[in-house]
Formats: sequence, structure tokens, C-alpha cells
Amino acid sequence: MRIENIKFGYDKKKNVLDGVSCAFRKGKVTSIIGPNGCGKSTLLGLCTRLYKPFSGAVFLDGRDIAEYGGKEFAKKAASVYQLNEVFSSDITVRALVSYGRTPHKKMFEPLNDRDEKIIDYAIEKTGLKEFENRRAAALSGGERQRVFLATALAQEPEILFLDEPTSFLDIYYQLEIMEIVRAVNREKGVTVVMVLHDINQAVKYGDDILVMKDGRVAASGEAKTTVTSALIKDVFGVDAELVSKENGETLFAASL
Amino acid sequence: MSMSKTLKRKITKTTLIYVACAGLTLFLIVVSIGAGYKKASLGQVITGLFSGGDYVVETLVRVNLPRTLVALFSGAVLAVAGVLFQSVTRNRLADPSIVGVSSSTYTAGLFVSLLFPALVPFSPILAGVFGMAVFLMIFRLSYSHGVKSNRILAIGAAVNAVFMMIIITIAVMQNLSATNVLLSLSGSLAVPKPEIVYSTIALSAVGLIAALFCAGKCNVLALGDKTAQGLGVNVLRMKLILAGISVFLTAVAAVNVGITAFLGLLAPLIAKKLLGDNHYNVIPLSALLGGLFLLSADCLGRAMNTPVTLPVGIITTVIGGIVFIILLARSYKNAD
Repeated sequence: MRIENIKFGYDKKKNVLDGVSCAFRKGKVTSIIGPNGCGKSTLLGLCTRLYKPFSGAVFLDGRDIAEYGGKEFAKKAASVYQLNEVFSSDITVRALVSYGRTPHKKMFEPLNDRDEKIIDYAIEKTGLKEFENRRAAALSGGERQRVFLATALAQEPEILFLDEPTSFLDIYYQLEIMEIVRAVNREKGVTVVMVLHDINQAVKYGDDILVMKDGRVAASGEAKTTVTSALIKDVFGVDAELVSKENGETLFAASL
Repeated sequence: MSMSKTLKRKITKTTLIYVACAGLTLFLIVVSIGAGYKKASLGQVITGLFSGGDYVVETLVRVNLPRTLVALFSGAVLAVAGVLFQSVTRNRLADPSIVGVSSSTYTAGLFVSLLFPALVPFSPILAGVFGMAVFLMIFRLSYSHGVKSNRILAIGAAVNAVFMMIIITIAVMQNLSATNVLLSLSGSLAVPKPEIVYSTIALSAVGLIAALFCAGKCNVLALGDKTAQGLGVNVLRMKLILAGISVFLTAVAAVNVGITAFLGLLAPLIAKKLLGDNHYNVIPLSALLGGLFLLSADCLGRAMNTPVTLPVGIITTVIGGIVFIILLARSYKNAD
């Protein structure tokens, strides 16, 4: 996916994104980070067609995403957002995940064996097998987020967008979601683009990283080499010390 | 194994509920034909209907059948209008009668009947167009980065108040008696003309079928605007279509039976309690229940020996209003 010189704002007065250009490599995981209000979630919303850019365009497989039909686009791109509430008290996990097949189905067309297999895969991959007949509304936040991830996987997307999918979750569920996303990326070659809050998670789980500040791209490139103490100081305004763990992993320890 | 068993149980439960509703409806139709000024016993109506030749029953059918049909269809239509409206606003307590859609369509119907009496058979359509314009205004005012359902309800309540005043002003200027205004305002079935009966049935059927075609989309919308968009639904366009059908259905009922509040809340609520939130069930079952409610309210109104037949609207408003208050209180309790 390629983004070319996008300008966009929620009202005409102020541009939230002021000329953003970047690309997400096929088959890779890209993390997007940046301080609050930098436009990272807005950028994701433009990639998933929640918003239309004032100028510039987003290209998927060489075609402007504005030209895709609704279902046609949903077959290629799936998204998971940060807060998901189900306006249905009795829908089961499996039924909800099966809505991921919607873009592949005509109106009133029933699910076939292939659909059921894909739903099975999505449910197993997200560790929801034991929950599949439970009501989605009765699940905890972390479990429910996995249901929406499974729904997105059932879409069989080429590219998966995650908008702060872990922001409201405990650390255990955060890592769980990250591990699932990575596994799906490795197994199915799904391109992943995710907006994250946690710099260390962004670096750990991202092949590439896109760092944003004030509606522009501050830095981009390979995650491990792009993020430096100097960049963090510049973008977030905090001092970040690079700490090495015994197993060779490195972390940023931030302080004011 | 256990899954197929629960599935089987679900299917039998579903069938049972539909059969029970349909049976109850048939029973009520017979009761409704027999109820009113001239009375006939249930048995007399049934034998009269099947064997014919009973003069009293024939008269009753002529007088009461149109009213019965209009009540059934108006109830069905109001209930489904509520279902769709709740899908648009993602709020179980939303109903076209609360946000001024009913009163605006009724106002339009009133204008048509006063100024262009020849157009009365088309008044559901004209009223629907007007109601849609009003709703679009409410929608536009409630829109900022997506539809804010609380804003729809608040702005709608104000719009509703304005139209109620307009209706009363028209009535005063036309020198309608207070009783007449009150009666028509609160929804009355009176004795409908044949062309009204035909147009109500035809327009209701069109609207109900359209609504059924949207059931799948309603299910996806229940997952949230962003998720629905991600699944390939054009959320804004779909919400406008759903609202359009809802307003049209409301208009069909409003021009016939006046403003029948809360039916759009009660029927979907009970339907969802009975068979769950899948709209492939919610829509047809709400339609059945809505018809049942309005018809029983009308029968009740006619059965009570008051000097004037108590209009359906009063009965549905009293019952619906009480349930609405209980629900509101409970939903606030849950939110705390």
C-alpha cells in the first residue's frame, strides 16, 4: 500500500494530516507511533476509507482505494479498532466471526464449507475455540478484542489494519494480541499496519516503523534501526535510555 | 452433537413463537370483527364467516374488516419502523415517534387532507417525503464525524414539540373541536375508506419487504460503524436508506392512525427478548407483534363502553409510556 501526499482535516480550518507520503511493504508488519494528536489513527482511517482525503490518494495494488467497491475493498483490507461494543445481547462468538465472510457473500447467500473452514481457522488462531458458542457481549475486553480480530481474519484480507487494538487491555492481553498478529503475518503473509502506543511493542513486533509528529512523517524505516533515543526525544519529548536485556533484546526506558 | 441439539431446540422454539403469534392474530381478527357497536359472539362470527348468510356478521365484516386490516398493518409498520430506527441510532430506546418523525408526517397528512383532499390516497407518500426532509435535517444537525445518536434524540424531541404545536395551531384555525383534535392526535382508526385500506396494505407490504431485505445489513451495523465499514458496508448510505424506510413506514401509519407512540419500542423489545437480536427474526416477529398490539389496543378501546370509542393511540401510549419509563430507569441503572 502506498500513500501519496495526503492532506486531511476534520474541519476545513485545520489539517490533521499535512502532506503525508509513505508506503507499507507487502507481507511485513508496520507499526505507526507518535504522540497523541499526531494524526496516526487518522492516517489509518484514511487507509481503511473511514475518511476521504482532501487531496492526495492511497493506492492498494496500484489502484486508488477510492475506486474500489465497498465489498471489493473489504475482501482485500480488514480493520480492527480500539473499542468494540456489540449492539446485540445474544450474538455468539462464532456468529460474530462469521460476519467476516460478509464481503465474500451475496445478499442471503448462506455460508458454505469453505467459509466454515475459514471461520474455524480464525477462531482457532485467536484462541477462541472454547468461547465459540458463548455470547460475545458477555466476554471480557481482551476476549472481545480477539473476537473482532478473528472477524477481520475471516475476511481473508491481504492487509490488516489495527488501530490501537490493545489500548484498553491488560498487558497479558496486549501481548497475546500482538503474538496472534505476528503469527498470522508469518503464516499467511498478511500485511499488517498497526497504530500502537507502546514504543517497545512497536519496535518488537514491527518489521518497519512509521513515526509521526504534528501530521507529518517524522521518520520511517526498519523498526530496529530507525528508533533511536534522539528520535524519541525529538518526537515525544522524553529521555529514553536504551537498555539491553540478558537475552539480547533491547528496550527503551523513558523518563521525563 | 450437543450443538445440533441446541440448534434443533432453537428452530422448534422459533416455529412455536411464530405459530403462536399467527394464531393469536387470527383469533384477534375474529374478535375484532365481532367487537364494537353491534356485537356478535365469537362462535357466531366464526360460523357466519364460514357458512355465510348471517346478516349481522356480514354487516360486521363490512364495517370492521377494513378497520381490522388497517390496524394490523399500521401496527406492523410502526413496529418495524422502530426496529430500523434503533439500528440507525444503535439505541434501543429510539423510536420515530420520539424524534418528531410521526408528528411531522402527521402534519403533512393534515395539510394534504385540508388543502388537497383529492390527493388523500397519496398522502402516505407525500407525508413520507416531508418526514424524510425533516429527518434529514435532524440527521444533519446530529452529524459530526458519524451520527451521534444522543443528539438525534435530543434534537428530535425539540422538533417533535414544534410539530405538535403546529398541529394544534392548524386545528384551532380550522375550528376543529378539541375532542376531534385529541382523538385524531392520539391515533384513531375510525372507519377507513376502501382506497385508504388498499393503499395502506400495498404501501405497508412494500415497506416491510424493503425492511426485510435490510435485515442482514442491520446485523452488521450492530457490530459498530467502523467495523461495519470495514466489512464493506457503506455505513452512511445504509443508515440513510434504513432511516428512509423507517420514515416511510411511519408515514404510512401516521396518516391513517395518527400518532401512535411507543409501539416502535415495545414490539422490537419483546421480539428481541423472545428470539434474540438477529434481524432476520426481529423484523418479521416485530411486525407480527406490532400488528397484534395495535389490534388488541383497538379491540380494547372498542370493548370499553365509553361514549366515544377510545382511540388506539391512547391505549398504546399509556402502556408504552409506562414501559418506556421503566426501561429508561433500568438503562440508567445499568450505566451507573
